[in-house]
Amino acid sequence: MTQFGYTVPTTWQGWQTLGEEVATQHPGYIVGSVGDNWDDDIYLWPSECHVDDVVKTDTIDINAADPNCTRATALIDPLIKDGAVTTDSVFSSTFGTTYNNKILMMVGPAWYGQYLFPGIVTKGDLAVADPLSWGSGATVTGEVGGGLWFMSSHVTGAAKTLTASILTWLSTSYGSQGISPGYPAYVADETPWIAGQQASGLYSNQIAPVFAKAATEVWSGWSPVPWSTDSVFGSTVVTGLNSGSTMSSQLAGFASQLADFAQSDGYTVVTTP
Amino acid sequence: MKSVESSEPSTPLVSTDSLSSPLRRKRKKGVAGYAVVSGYFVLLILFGVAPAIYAITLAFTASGGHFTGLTNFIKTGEDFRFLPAFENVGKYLFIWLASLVVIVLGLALMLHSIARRVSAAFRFIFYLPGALAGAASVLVWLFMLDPTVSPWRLFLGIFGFKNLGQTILPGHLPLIFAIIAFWAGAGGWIVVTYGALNNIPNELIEAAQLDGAGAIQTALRIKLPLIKKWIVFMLILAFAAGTQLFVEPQLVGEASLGLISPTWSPNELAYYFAFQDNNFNYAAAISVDLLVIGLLCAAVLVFRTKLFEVE
Repeated sequence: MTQFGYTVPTTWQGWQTLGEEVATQHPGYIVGSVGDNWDDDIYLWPSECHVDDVVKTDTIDINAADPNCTRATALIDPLIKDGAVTTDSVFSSTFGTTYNNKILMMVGPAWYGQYLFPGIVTKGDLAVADPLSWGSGATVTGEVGGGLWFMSSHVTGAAKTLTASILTWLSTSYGSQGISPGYPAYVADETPWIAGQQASGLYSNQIAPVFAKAATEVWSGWSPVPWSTDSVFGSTVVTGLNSGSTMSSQLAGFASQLADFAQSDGYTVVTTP
Repeated sequence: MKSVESSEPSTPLVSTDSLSSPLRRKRKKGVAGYAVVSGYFVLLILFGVAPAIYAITLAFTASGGHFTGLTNFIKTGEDFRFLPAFENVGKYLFIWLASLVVIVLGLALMLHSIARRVSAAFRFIFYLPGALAGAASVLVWLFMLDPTVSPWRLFLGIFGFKNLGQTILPGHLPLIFAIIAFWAGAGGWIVVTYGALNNIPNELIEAAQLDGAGAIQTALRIKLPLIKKWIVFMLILAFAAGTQLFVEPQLVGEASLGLISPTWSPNELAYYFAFQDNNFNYAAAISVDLLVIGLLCAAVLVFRTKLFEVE
């Protein structure tokens, strides 16, 4: 960024402007990617797009026409066209060689640090910045991965206590959280986890304030549901992009299939304008 | 059936006892036959019939075990993924069965008409891809289909495919899976069909040639009608296996990190219901749908072609 004379954007609009500049001034460099099924978590969730909002028990709000959804896709489509945002999967076999030291910016989860970037980005060349905002309103972000632990209602007696203790260990102990490249959900594990990441030497700036703040900014309007929103995004939007379509034109199909899944699982689908 | 018939004349006529009591000999033969079949029969009951009965029971009941009639069939039939899944597999089957009949028969007939010594080498080559078992052959294809690592990247590039996602677009999948199935399965069928062609008495072919039939006429008017039952047998098995397509879409879906719907084929949909939605009854209903379709098609082919009739 310093070498090209750019400053790190703080808003999505700023990110797009910079992306357009990169496409003209430094073709081949990228500022993001939409080639994986979890990219809805990266672009639509932080935009407060209402496609996964369980508003009350068994009622979900899915609205592809929500301006919060269309503003995100309208922002990204030109960047995909210009090549500043790639549609290659970040885990494709050649992503590392194609974009070796060509990733100028990347919007993504904290686990990209240890899981994706080693081998693609030179150690010490990577820095983290606050999640992008939409200019007005509170800054929110999404999250990629994570999940819920369940105990079956069939577990009874002594096994119940043992199951509870293993679930507690899995979700809170640093013994389990510390070995994961994913950001720990349990607050007490944050500090040692961040210290471990910092010590890896991958980052050139202090990640603690950025990560700790971003962890509190995850928008609550995306709910855990029995179907995979990501999987639907992959088989509709990402597949559409691969056939030369745009993100904006795939939104309706994405939402309609989410509604199908919701109804099939017994949810009532509402569309809040 | 054929082998039993053909072994009849070669029975050594050494014992006068055998001549005097053909019935006893027949019974002895029967016992040996049952003994040979029993191993298969036990496995068929354990892993074929019993699970099928279990699936039928599940398909007509709810998770609590009470009878629900056709509810599971209606609910799964109304599901938004049901028709697309059958549509996908229908397209796949059309390509796979058509290519199986045309290319397998073509190659087997060609093999049969060239010298035996050469055809042994060809038979081996045709059979070779089939030696790679199901999942492994799909993994080989994953590399073939990914333009970034494929040895055929130039060829894929001609079609404008730059990454795996572009190769495996939904419209391409039936053809891709048919090619994989053909590559893995056609060799075995070529060998089987070739074996069937070898059963045709030489005198018949020679007689046809004396009457002035060329290679193509001999193939179409003599050889093909005589191996009709083998072709039907191949179609029944290929159809049954084809409707149950699972490994290919499942693995390609996993490898592309979810760019293919996890319910692409009916069998995948059943799997999804069972292990994602925890609804074994719905899964069983779809399995029974597949069973009925397979049995119906087999019945039509068997009765229309008199497959089991021994002349």
